[in-house]
Amino acid sequence: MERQERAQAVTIISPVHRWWALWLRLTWPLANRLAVVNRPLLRLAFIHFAHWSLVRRMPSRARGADARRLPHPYVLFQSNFNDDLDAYIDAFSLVVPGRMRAMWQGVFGFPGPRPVDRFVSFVRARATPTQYYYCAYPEASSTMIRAALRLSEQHRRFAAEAAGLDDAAFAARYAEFLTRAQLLM
Amino acid sequence: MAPVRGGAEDSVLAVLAAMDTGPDSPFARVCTTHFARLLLIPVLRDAHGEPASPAQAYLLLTADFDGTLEQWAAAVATEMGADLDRVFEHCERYPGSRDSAAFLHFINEHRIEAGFSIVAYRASVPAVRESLELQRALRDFAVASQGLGASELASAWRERFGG
Repeated sequence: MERQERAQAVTIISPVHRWWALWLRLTWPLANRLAVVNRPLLRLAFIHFAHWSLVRRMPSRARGADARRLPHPYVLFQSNFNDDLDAYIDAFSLVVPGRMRAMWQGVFGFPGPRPVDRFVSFVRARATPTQYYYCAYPEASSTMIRAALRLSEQHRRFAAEAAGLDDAAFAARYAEFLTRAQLLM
Repeated sequence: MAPVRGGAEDSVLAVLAAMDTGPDSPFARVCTTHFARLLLIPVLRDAHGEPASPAQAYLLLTADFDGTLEQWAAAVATEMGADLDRVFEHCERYPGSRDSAAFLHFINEHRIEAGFSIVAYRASVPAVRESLELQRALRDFAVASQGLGASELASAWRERFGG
């Protein structure tokens, strides 16, 4: 795992039981749609984007003689996140242990999300070093970006409201805007 | 994710180490790219943590981008084809980026679809950058405008943000 200012990358590719690959294939489409699954993960404010995938052959979408079946199905996990990998895994372990089980339980060697030290060791042992990493806005954390996008929306509304106001009314509206928006700045 | 030709692992690592980073990164020329990474997977492990047979290294490229894969692949071929060729020429059956149809076929064939995703924000790269810039501007304005009277405040706002 490498640091590039705020955003960092972690990549794990790990073999899974075939029955677990089937479980993931069946449950992921539903998990993607259910807010009850997604919301706690989105509250982990240090994640920009994270993806889990299954790889069963190589090339992954080739068919027939062009494809080679891998000895196991593999889960590929890749995430772009802020700051420290251990803190990232800690949060997964403490905040969403059930979801971690639902994602990793059938991965060979998975020790469970708790105790966290074992989970950290499991992840660190399987993380593949990233040789090259690019981020389009390296100065910004995920929290900053989410706040900036909300602020942008509030600014758009305020600017539209404020356009025709006299100075006194503008100052009063600006004070209200600032009160609402100050935590997003 | 593409198989690397036998014995080419060190060449892949050397090319990756030599690629420009930050604002000079070739990916910066593909302005729809949020994140990208390239890494060498030296070998896949089996259920016991031992190298799986047959031993095979892989090159993994991942990217989060705006628009469709086809649009992104076309922009990559145009804007950073030569850079990508220097890395992927060490992979089996890589056709190069100059033949756009063959390039897209290679990308499609080796693509690994995301099964489950966490996406913290859904906004294009320009929208993210503009929002961050606006955030900075509003913060600076809030600090600089403290203590201004109503007419000075309104005037300073219109000068800075229009309207």
